[in-house]
Amino acid sequence: MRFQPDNWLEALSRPVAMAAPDANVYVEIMAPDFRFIFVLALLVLVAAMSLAPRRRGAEAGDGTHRRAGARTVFILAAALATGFVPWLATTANGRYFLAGLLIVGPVCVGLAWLLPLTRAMRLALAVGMVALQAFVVQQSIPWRAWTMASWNEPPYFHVDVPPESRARPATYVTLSAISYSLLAPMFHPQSRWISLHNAPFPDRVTADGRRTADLLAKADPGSLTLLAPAVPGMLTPQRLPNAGVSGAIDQQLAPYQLALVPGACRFLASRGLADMGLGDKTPRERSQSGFWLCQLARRQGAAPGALPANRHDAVFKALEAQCPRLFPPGGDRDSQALPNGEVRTYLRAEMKAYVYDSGEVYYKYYRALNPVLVGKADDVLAGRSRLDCGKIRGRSGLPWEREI
Amino acid sequence: MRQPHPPLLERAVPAALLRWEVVLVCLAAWGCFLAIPLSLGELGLGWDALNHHIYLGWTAEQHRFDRDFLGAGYQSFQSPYLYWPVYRMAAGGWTGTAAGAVLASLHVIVVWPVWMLARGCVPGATMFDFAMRVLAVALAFMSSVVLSAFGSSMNDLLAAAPLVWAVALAMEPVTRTGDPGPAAACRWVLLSGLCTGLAVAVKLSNGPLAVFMPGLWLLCARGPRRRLAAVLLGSIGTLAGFLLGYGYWGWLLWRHFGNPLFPFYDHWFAPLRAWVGWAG
Repeated sequence: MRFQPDNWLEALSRPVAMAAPDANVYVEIMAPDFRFIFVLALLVLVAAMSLAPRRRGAEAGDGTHRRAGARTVFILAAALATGFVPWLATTANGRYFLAGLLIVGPVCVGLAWLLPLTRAMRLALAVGMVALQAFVVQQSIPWRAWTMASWNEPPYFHVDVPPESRARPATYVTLSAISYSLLAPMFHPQSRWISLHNAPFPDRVTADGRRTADLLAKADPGSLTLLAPAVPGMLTPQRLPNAGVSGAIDQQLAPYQLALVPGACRFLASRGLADMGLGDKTPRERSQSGFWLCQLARRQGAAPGALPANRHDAVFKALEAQCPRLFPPGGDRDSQALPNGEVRTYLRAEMKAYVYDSGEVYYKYYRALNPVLVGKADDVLAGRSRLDCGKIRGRSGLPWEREI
Repeated sequence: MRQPHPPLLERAVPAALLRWEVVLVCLAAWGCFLAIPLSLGELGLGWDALNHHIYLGWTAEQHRFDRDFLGAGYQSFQSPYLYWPVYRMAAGGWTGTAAGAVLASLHVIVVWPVWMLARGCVPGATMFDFAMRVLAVALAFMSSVVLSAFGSSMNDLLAAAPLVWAVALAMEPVTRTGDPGPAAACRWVLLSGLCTGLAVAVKLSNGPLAVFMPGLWLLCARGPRRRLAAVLLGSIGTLAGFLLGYGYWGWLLWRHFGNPLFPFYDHWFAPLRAWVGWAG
């Protein structure tokens, strides 16, 4: 629902909003598109001019061609309009509307062709549309718009995979939001992979919880291995995870009954990872770019120092009742304990809710810079503090109204 | 007395140029597409490539449902076959530029149907019509979303190609000035349906867009009975195309997860799992 309109105004104005030079309007990247405005304007022009008295010799082609062209143009325009509705209703993501983004080109030029103007004027109009759209495309620089890492020379992504990892199968777990599964083909093909960032906690109740439990249970204890990108600034002089990050990793592994084996990590240098990120890295930063490969052990019980969760369930529930579309009841899974409160994630809505022990309740939409205060927990519970579901910072409003 | 030359825009396009117009447009587009990865000198790997593109291409060769679970998160279950080329080139030790050039070349497949639509919108054989068609094709690709696909491992544009073909084929009986006849119309509709099914098979997100296809098939025939038959034929073609493109993958998902669309609509398949005694 990242790009789905939240109200009728947003839905109806989307063809116009798509021209805005902002990112995250109908696709993650900045991709201003004037062509839907062209279609709307040309439809008005064609309708207006068809009512005006016609000048001889200023019509498109001969009668047969004109009729065939007009039929095609209007059918395609209707198809585009029809396709717009389920697109907006399902994802509204431009990457899933590429057929529409292609078809709109011939529709624009076809409408210009239908205008009762001289050929030179219609050609100038079409050239003008192409030129304006080319200008905004050039200004938005679509090249490398998605690029995080560059594949220049082989291998496609460099990482020093140890020979034994290529030779012997193991069970690898990843924790990061990016699974880095592009590395999997570099390891032994009989190895097993699971992304714990996505996997539900192991249980015997839900199907996916059971699948997680089964995969982890079947793993040979000596072969359970964590593959995680090294966290800048959290490395020991030997480029291994320091105590702070080891503790954080253990906290994340604990619900899966896994733990780091002390002193059983190694660093895999990665030029692929070193090239990622903004700005130039110093030689030291580059040398510290890589992955940690850490042996894991099974654990019984909670991680040492683990904080109790589910202390603020009632507050989360109250928030979820206020805006169930943005805070689907229950969230993705149980709340996670923070040193000073709890956080619950709502991946589908890309939302997080925080309840702090001091009593404040915040939400944060992923495109907002900072969390937004909802109110005090007691007020949320009593209904005195209410979240305006139509005014979500970072999400709501037309592109030019939005705040981050 | 010599006839004066008509103005340039009113002159007829030479017959040879008209005959080869689509080929010339495709060649010109290919040159433009190729220029992008060649000038970048690399293939960009985005969030999705690091997360699942290469992995999916790997699983296209040999599925891993009996080994991995969520190896690439919940993206692990989408139809992987369009990712196979990029994986094969990555595993084969290609340079990023060469891989980008191959991927850009594959995208020429979408230029032809766009030109067909342009020809439908702007029929005619004058220089003016020819110029307008070229501009229509250029404007079709003049989108940052479309162009950002070149020089990356994204396959959304490639996945959209069958749907654009489906629209172009469905429009053929409409765009023709003469009556193509019921047999020819049936052929276009059937092919259009096959392409629609294939489009949904390679990317399920094409499904919602395909809702307008029956409307286009309706217009391919004359008379209520023939129109209905056209919709039926297109729907059969869609089903066939979908089974062709998704059947094996869907069967694998059913075998391992009891849901051919896993992880979507899982509760919808619960009665079916119970009915057939699927044990998981």
